Amino acid sequence: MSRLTLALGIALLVVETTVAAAIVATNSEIENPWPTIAFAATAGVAFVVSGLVALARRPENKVGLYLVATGYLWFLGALVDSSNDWVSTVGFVLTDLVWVPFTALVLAYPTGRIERRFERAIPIATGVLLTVPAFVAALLDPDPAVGCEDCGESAIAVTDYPSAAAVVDVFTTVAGLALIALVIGVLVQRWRHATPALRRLLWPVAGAGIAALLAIALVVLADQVSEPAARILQFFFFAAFAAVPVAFLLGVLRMRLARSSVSDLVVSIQQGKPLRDALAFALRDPELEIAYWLASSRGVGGAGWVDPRGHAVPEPTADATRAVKVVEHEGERVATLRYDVALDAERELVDAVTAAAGMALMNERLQAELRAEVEFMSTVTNTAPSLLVNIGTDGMIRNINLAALEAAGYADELVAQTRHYWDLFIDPGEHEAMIARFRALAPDYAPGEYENTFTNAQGEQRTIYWRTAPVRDAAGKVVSIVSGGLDITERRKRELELERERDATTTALESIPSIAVVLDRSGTICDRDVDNPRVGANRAFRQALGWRDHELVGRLFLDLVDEDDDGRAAAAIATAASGGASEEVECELRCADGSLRAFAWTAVPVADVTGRTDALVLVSGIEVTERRRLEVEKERERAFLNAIANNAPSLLCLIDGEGRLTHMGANIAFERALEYEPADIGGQLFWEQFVDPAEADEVHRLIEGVLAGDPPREHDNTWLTSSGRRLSIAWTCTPLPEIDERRIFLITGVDITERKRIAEDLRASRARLVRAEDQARRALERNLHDGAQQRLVALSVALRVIESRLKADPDGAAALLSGALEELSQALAELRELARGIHPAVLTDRGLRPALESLVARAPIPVELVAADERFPLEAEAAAYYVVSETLTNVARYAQASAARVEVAKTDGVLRVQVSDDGVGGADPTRGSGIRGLVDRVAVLDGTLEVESPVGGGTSIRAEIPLDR
Amino acid sequence: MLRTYVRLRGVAYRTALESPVCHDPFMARTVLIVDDHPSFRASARAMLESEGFDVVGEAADGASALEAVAALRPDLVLLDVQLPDMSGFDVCAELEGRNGSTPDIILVSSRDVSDYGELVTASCACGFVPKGELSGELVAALLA
Repeated sequence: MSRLTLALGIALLVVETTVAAAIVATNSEIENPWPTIAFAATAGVAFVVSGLVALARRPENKVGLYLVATGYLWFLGALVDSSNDWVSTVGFVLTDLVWVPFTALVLAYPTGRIERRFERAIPIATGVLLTVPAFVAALLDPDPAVGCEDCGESAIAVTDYPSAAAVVDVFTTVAGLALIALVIGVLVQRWRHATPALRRLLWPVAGAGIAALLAIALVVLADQVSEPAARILQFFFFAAFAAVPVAFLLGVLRMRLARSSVSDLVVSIQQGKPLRDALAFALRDPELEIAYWLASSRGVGGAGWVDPRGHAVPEPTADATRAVKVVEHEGERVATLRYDVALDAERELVDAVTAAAGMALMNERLQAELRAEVEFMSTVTNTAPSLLVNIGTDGMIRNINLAALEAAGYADELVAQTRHYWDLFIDPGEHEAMIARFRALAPDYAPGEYENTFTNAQGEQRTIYWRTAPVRDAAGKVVSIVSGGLDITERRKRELELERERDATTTALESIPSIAVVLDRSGTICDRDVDNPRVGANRAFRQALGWRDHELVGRLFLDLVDEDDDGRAAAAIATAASGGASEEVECELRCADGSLRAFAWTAVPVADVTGRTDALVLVSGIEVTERRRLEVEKERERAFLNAIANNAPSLLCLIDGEGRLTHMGANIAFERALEYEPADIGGQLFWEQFVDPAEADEVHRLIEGVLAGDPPREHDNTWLTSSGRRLSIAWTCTPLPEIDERRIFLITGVDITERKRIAEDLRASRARLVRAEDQARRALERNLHDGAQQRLVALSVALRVIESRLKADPDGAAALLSGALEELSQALAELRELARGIHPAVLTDRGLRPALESLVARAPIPVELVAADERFPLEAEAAAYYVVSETLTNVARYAQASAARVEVAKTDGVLRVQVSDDGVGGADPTRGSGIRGLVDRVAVLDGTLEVESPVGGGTSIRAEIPLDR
Repeated sequence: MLRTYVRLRGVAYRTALESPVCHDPFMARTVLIVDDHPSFRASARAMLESEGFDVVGEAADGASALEAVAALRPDLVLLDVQLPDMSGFDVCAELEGRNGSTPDIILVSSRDVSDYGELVTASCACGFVPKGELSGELVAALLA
C-alpha cells in the first residue's frame, strides 16, 4: 500500500469520525451522547486501523479490505441522527450496510476468501435484506426513524404509511436475527471441522465475531422488552464489535512471536531430534510430511520422491486441507513440506522454518537416497532367481537372498545368517572336504565355479551350479566372498529322464514285431543310438530282411526298395522329411539273399532319441507277403466263383436282408432270361420286380420265411421278364455266409417253362391216346354189338325157329335155314372186317407194303401206292399203316377227291409217309380227334406229322417216324 | 315189393312176392316188337308167330314204340333195351305212367342181365330175356 493511499485512508477516517461525532452530539434527543460517540468511534477506528495494517501486510488478502469497509460504513449509522432530511434519509437507508463487509470478514477470515458459494451469498443477502426494506420504509413513511423526533424526515417519502414502516421494521428485525443465526451456524460448523492450527488462527476473530453477533441479537430482542436493558446491552455489543479488529491485531502479533520457534528448531536439529518431528513442532502441525527429491542420476529407480526412510512416495500435491512448499537449494529441488493449509496464513513462519532447516533437509535427503539405494539392491537380490550368498572369510553367511534361502530349505534369514555356508549347502558327509577346500582358497579366494548336489533342510535334493568371486576392501584385502548359484536341479532331472526315455525307446524299437528304421533327411539309414552307432534298423527289420546293421547304416533306404515301387516310396520319405506323415506304402523290399518280401509301411518325422536336433524320418511297418498272397488267392477264388456263376445255366441273383437285389448281383443267365441289362440289376425288391404280380405276395412270404430262418425249399412260380413275358421258374432262396456283416441270400432258379410245356403236351397227348383207345374200344363194342352180334342173335333165333319147325314144316324150316346161312356169312364178314380194323394180320405177317396194298384195294377211290417192300420195326409199321388208313378214311369221307396217292420211303433212318389227295382241302387238324390221334401216335415214336390242306388245293399229310430210337 | 330173379339154365324166372298182373299166356296175344335191328325183328317175328303170337307191329326206336303202343294197343311188347333214342327202361316208365292199361313188357338185349343191375327189377317189365335165348316157352313162362 502506498503512503498516499494510507494518508487518504486516515484522512477519510478522521473526516468520518468528526462528522459522525458532530451529528450525534448535535442531536438534542440523545441525553448523553459522549459515551456512545466514544464507543462507536473506537469501534470504527479500530476496524479501519486494523484493516489498514492488514492491507499493508498482505494486500492480496481481502481481510484487510473487509476490515476497512466495515470501519468506514460503520459511521453511516450516525447520519440518521442528522436533522437534515436527505442526510437522515441516507443514513436511515444505509445504516445496516456495514453488516455486509462484517459478515464477509467473519466468513472469509483468515484467508480472505469465502470458499463456499452458499456462504458467499450471505453477505449479499445481508445487504439486500437489511437495506431494501429500509428504502421501502423511507418511501412509505415520512418519519421512518422511530423514536427520534429530532431526526430528519424521509426525503424520499411518497406517501404516509406509518404502519408500513413498522412492518418494515419488524421484517428487518426478523431477517437480521435469521442472518445472525445463519452466520453463527456457519462459523460453528467451520470450527468443528477445523484443524488445530486453523482453530488456533480462527478463535480470536471468529469468537469476537460471534460475540458481536449474539450481542446484536440480544440488543434487538431486549429492545422489544426493555429499553434500558437494551441500552446496557448495547455497550456489550460495542465491546464485542470492537473486539473483532483487536483480535485480528492480536493474531498478527502472535505470528511475529511464533517466529521465535525457529531458533528452537535449530537447537532441536543440532540435538539430533528427527528433522520431521522438529519441523512439525516448529510449525505446530503434527501431520507435517516431508518428501525428498532424488534426481535420476542419483536415484535407483529413476527420478522420484522418497520419504525420509528412502521409500518411494507419490509426488506431494496440495489439496483442500494441505498445502505444499518446495524447498530448493541453489535452484535445485531438494524437498517438499506438506503442511496444514491454515499455515499459509503464517507464510513467514513457514519460510523461516524451512530456511532454518535447509541444511538438515539436504543431509536427510542424502540419507534417504542412500536408504533408497540399499532398498533397491535388496529388492534386486531378493527377486533374482539366482542364488546369492555373501560369505565371510570365516565361512559364515553374511547375506543371503531369498532364492538361496529357499534352495537351502529355510524361511528365516536370521537362521541362515548364524550358520556357515557348508551347513546349508553341503551334505554332512562332505563338510570336511568342503571346509578343507575353503581354507585352501585363502587368502585370495580366487574366483571359481563348481557344481554340487545336497539335501536341503526340507529333505529335497538340490543341485546347484556355483560361481564365486571375492569382495575386496580399499586395501585389496578380501573381506567376503560372493557366491552366485543357479539351481539346476530340474535340468538334471530332465537330463536323467531323457536318458531313461532314450533307453526305453531303444528297447521298445528293438522288441516290437513291426519293422522300424530311422533315416536322415536324405533317406540314408542312420544310426539310432549314440551309444551304438551301428544300429540303424531294429531287430524285426534285420531279421525279416536278413541284413546286418553295418550293411544298413549309411545306405539309402530306397536301394532296398524294389524298382517298381520307387516313386511311391520316395514320395513317402520326402513327405516325412518335410514334416508330414506319409500315406501307407506297400512295396517289396530286397532281402540280403536277393529275394523280395512285401511290406506295408509309413514314414513319419521323428525327434532324435539321442538328443540331436537333425530332422529324422522313421519308417515303420509290417510284412505283408503272406497277406498279399492271401489277397491274390482270394481274388482268384472270387473270379473263379464269378465265372461259375456267370456261366451257370441256372438263374442266380443275390438279395440282401430286405429282399432287395444287390448291385450287379445277378448272373448272365438271369439277365438274359429276364431281359435286363447288368446295370439295371440292383436295389429292387425281388418279388416286386421279377415275379408275376398275382404271385408276388406268395413269393414275398416265402422269401421272408427264409430271411427269418426257414430252411430253403424249391418252389415253382411265374416270373416276369422286363417285356412282360411269363416264365415258369423253379427257384430256391438260400442264405449265404455273411459278407462284411451283411446278410446275403442266393436265389437260384431254373426256367421250367419249356419243360412244363412239354410235360403238359405229354400229359395231353397221353390223355388223347387214352381217349382214342377208349373211343376205339367203344367203337369196337358198338361195331360188334350192332354188327356181328346182332347177326348172330338173329341167327340164333332163326335156328331155334328152324328147330321148332323142322318136323312140322320142313320146307319152311329149309327156307329159314338159307336165310340163316346168309346171316351167318354176313356175320363172319363183318367180324373179319372188324378184326382187320383192330389190327390187320397182314401187317404183322407180311409187313407194311402188303398191308397198304390190301388197304388201298378196298379204298372207294383210286389210290396210287409207292412203297418199298421192306420191313421196318413193328411200331413204325403200325404207325405208318394207321396214318394211311385214317387218312384214306378221311379222304373217302370228307375230301371229295377223285384220286389219292400214298408214298412210303425210308431216308436217313427216318420212315417218311405221305398221303395226298386232290380233294377240296381245308382240313383242320385241330378239329376232329382223328388226325390228333395220329399226331400222338407218331409222337410216341418221336415222330412228327404235318398236315397241309389249303382250301381247294387238296390235302397232304406227311409223317416222319425215326427208325433208330 | 321184393323181386328176385333166378337164372335157371338160360331162362330168367321171376319169383315175385307180389307179382304184377300178367295175362294168361295161352290166350292169343298181340305183340309189338321194338328193336333197332331189322334182322332181329324178323327173327323174333318168325319165332313168335310160330308160337301162336300175333305180331301186330314193329318199331325201331322208343318214340315210334310209344306211338305204336298207343295205336295198336298190343297185349305184349317185346322191348329192346338198347334203343337209339331212349332206353327200354324209359319206354317202360313212359308206358307205366300213361292212363289206361299198360301192356305186358318183356325186355330183351344182346347184353347180359347183370349189365343192368337193379334197373330190370325196378322197371315195370314182367321179365328179361337175352336175345340169343329168345323162345316162345320162355316168353310164356315170363307171362305166367
